Amino acid sequence: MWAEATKVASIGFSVVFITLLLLAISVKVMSFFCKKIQSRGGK
Amino acid sequence: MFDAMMGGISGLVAGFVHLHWSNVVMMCIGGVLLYLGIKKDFEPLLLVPIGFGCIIVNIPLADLMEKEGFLRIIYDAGVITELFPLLIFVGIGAMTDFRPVLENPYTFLLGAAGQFGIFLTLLLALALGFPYKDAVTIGIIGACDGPTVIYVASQYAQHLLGPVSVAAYSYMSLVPVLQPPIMRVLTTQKERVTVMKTHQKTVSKTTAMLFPIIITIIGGLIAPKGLPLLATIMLGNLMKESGAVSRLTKASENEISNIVTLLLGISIGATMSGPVFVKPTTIVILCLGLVAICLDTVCGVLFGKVLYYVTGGKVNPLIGAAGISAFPMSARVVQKEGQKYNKKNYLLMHAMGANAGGQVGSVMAAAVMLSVLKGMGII
Repeated sequence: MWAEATKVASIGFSVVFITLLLLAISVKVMSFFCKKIQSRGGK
Repeated sequence: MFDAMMGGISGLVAGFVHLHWSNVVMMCIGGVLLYLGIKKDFEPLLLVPIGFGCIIVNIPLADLMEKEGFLRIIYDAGVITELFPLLIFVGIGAMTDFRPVLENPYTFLLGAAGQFGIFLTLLLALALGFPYKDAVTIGIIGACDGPTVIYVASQYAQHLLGPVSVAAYSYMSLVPVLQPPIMRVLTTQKERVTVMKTHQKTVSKTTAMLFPIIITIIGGLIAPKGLPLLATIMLGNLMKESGAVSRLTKASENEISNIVTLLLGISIGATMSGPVFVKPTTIVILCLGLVAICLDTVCGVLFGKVLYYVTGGKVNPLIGAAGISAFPMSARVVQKEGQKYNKKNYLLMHAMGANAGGQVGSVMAAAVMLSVLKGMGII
């Protein structure tokens, strides 16, 4: 019971953390490309 | 003649005769919720309908939650179908400004740390002998987000809907009381006075519009079971950022949110009938909910400390407390605490980033609970 509960909690938290890390990276990449496209449009 | 009169009188007192002591207790609790909402201004939009719903559902023989009762009809239409929390999420999305998190994407990680309490509470609930689905529902109180809690409860443990919703909304309103002592205990004076530089980065309209689309696609692919939660909040945000559907945005922020909040509140109150609610389990759930929210704050601040050391003292650990989803209340608490120790410290924008990250984090935590547990074959 405890082993399974710990597994659920650790997997659950790891997935949340990794997902938000991925989202943070995606936001960073998206912002970079948006700036790049905007600066090209400005020229 | 006499018998008919006595029959009429007994009909008039039947309500009093059938009044169980637990109904009286719940009417008093309903009164306390009304008092907190009206007099103390603690989440009045929800506590007032919840409190009133709680009082009326405990009046015997009215059968408000029976098959034809009007509260049952509202409950079945919006809570069982999970429509109400989702409609509220469209409104929340339309009201939330995610620009602070777009300016500082690292604050997403604080939003993740702020969800750790959910999983620790899940462990505690399992240790106390709650079945898996109940434990998940109790743990999600730590999301500190009413609609998320209601959504998960209506999927996994409808019998816990009353206690977990009341716990979530009550503790959300108590964030300004619960968080500051934890923040003080876990940080040193040197850490608390850390001034964070405010980079006034401009977020383009395109970036702000792409954000909800990208988050929905990535988040949905990772945790498809939680997509309704994520998609509705992001739809609201896309409508706001695009500016193309201002009528829909305004309706989501105001009319739809208001109507659904009223119906949701009164339906939640309707689940608080005495014989169902007055149990030792309810007290345990309320205590576990409190633990969940405190643990979220602890983990958020501790992760803030990690960032403080990793960045060489550039991040004030106090902003970690805003990694929970109580938006924008916990960000304001961080700002107030920060200024208490250093008048020149303006942590609000950074805390808002963590808070917006927490908003997404809590939805993701619920989505992960729904998807991962299903994937592990536990639920």
